[in-house]
Amino acid sequence: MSPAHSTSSRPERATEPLVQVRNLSKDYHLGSFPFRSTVRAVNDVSFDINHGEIVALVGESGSGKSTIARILARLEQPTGGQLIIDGQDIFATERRKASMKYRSKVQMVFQDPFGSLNPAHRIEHFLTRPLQLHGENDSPKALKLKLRELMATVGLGEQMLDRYPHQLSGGQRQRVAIARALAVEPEIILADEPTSMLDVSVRIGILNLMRKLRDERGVSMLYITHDLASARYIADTTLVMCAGDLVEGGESIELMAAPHHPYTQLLLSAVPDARRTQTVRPPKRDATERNANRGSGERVTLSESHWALKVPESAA
Amino acid sequence: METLTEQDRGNIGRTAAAPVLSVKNLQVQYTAEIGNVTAVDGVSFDIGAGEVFGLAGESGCGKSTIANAVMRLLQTPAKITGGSIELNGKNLLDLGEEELRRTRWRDVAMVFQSAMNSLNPVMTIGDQIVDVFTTHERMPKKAARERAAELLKLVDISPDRLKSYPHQLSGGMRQRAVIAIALALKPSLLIMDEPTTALDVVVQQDIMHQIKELQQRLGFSILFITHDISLMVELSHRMAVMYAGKLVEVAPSKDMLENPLHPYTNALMGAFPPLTGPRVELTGIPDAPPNMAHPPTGCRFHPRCPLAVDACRTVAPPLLPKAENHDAACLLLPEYVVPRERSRR
Ligand SMILES: Nc1ncnc2c1ncn2[C@@H]1O[C@H](COP(=O)(O)OP(=O)(O)OP(=O)(O)O)[C@@H](O)[C@H]1O
Ligand SMILES: Nc1ncnc2c1ncn2[C@@H]1O[C@H](COP(=O)(O)OP(=O)(O)OP(=O)(O)O)[C@@H](O)[C@H]1O
Ligand code: SF4
Ligand SMILES: [Mg+2]
Ligand SMILES: [Mg+2]
Repeated sequence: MSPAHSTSSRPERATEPLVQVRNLSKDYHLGSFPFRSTVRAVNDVSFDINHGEIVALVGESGSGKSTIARILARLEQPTGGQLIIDGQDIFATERRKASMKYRSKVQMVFQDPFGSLNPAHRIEHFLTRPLQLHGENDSPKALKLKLRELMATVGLGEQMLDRYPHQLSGGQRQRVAIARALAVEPEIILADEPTSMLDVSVRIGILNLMRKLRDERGVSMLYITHDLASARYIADTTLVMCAGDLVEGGESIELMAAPHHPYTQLLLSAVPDARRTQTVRPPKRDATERNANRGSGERVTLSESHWALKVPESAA
Repeated sequence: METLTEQDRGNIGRTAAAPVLSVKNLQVQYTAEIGNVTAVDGVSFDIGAGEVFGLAGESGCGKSTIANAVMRLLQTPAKITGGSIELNGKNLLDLGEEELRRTRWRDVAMVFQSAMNSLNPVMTIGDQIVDVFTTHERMPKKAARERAAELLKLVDISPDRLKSYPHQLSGGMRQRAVIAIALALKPSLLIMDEPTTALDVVVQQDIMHQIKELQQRLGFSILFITHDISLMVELSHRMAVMYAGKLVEVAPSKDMLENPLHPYTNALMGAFPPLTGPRVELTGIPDAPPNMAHPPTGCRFHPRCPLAVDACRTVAPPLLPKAENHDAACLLLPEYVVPRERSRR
């Protein structure tokens, strides 16, 4: 009906965001003494996710996108910063472990569908468990029905329920992982490249599904992807990462029409395009070599819904 | 008999020299209590020397199964139930374990779809690359270390990372390390199963450039599997589109993009969200992919084909020439007749 989505479906500014990430940082250590080195995987990152908002996180490989998702999923502790969900300062109040409540609110779909499904179980098992936990009072019949609905939602036939993960193709496994996250009806889904292995026809189906979940159930989403066109297709807001920094953010269409930061420009120019004649040769890079020269972290406001990180003098 | 026709006409690689890889009428079955799945059903194609050949198609259509068959890495319950796979003139299906071990990685190497997971989690990246050289080339440790550092640089990973364990690298970095390992022994055929799905487009483009450069310099051939048709068209010379275990269209990549003939290919080409212009609503291809344990009769695409006619339900269309150097499997397309004067040449 309405075009891909309308800005009006976004919640009002006045209501508090569902997720507030403030000055989040994460350091990893490599090697052992005396050859220890530190990788700053996430550097002073701040952003919001509103109720019912789809936020895309795009950017260079190794820039810290999955790390952010893992911290939001409480699979890892940050080195510094705050995570506020529904007004609750999470790291201050549930310091060590996520509560059950947190887990049913925040669900993650992992980047790698091969590693995230235990090979010893049938597909049915992966979906029944969360369904049972969520709908404790469901009769076996109601459960079966939900199971069937869930499979249909992600476009898998019922016959797949009896299979083991290794009996599915890459794309089919990815859909099982999405179904599993949906089973507990979370408030926010952290989807780490949920469609990277899907072909276009199924991918569009999953993207439309994600949008439908947002429109109908108000589910918020952090959508991590390398596919800029799909980010533009479903996300209200797009955030761009480079070497641990959030370098640009804004309303998706606006940002992609007028990228400001050099990295965003490079990223957009590298999208494969069969019809393009000249090719762009990006510079050599490695995330570890660029820990220096981060600039001041100051943001330039480009419009009400678009900002970019100030580029440090020497890099510009 | 449909398969016979396909076999006869299947030799669509119209490369002058002997092909590096020649797959003929390949059939692969998975036996399972849930019913046998013929994941690959009568597939034929050739890849010429120095040619980049793309294989595209829906999730579950059998692409990885073909790749694993060529690597002879299929394990029970998968079984090659028909056809042949010739690499440099040798039928791989006749080779014994020992010969296979020598062929694999040295003559044909593969970057797996699950590449990120195919690294050994308890060994550093450096040790894993060194291992390839010491076991396959009996290279001394020190020389192997140097080669390993060079290889990592080739895929844009700083040599410090030799001491990293796989979990210390991002998904993309792991994928690049795996590509480096596959190229280590300079194979004549490199199979890449979704090699860059985990990479950002900048790195992807860079790696693709590097692979193409290396490919041109060293002259190896590539079987390239991806669902990213834009990327495939940019990179491959020729490509095949697969649907439900069968090839439905084979053509030079540019022709495939500009003039797709098969209704399925047409639908695929129209399913990309745009990067410019107004937001649009896309529907993809309606209905679920077929259940491969019980594929549709006749043309396997008929339940989802907007052009299907009655005959499509009963007659399986063979892959036939429909334009110059352009084969497709659809009943509605008239067969291409090679012009007289040209056929005589
Ligand atoms: N456990 C770890 N130990 C050491 N370094 C790590 C660890 N996990 C991640 N890193 C490093 O942190 C950085 C960010 O990694 P992350 O996986 O978040 O990247 P990403 O943006 O998700 O990349 P990709 O798009 O390739 O998946 C990388 O440089 C990576 O090597
Ligand atoms: N061990 C198995 N037992 C039964 N069926 C299997 C098994 N492994 C794979 N299959 C089926 O074989 C078909 C082909 O799988 P394959 O992995 O080759 O697909 P693909 O084209 O590579 O898909 P994707 O793009 O999702 O990776 C799928 O329908 C899959 O469900
Ligand atoms: S043979 Fe029939 S069903 Fe198959 S693609 Fe052609 S028109 Fe569609
Ligand atoms: Mg990641
Ligand atoms: Mg596959």
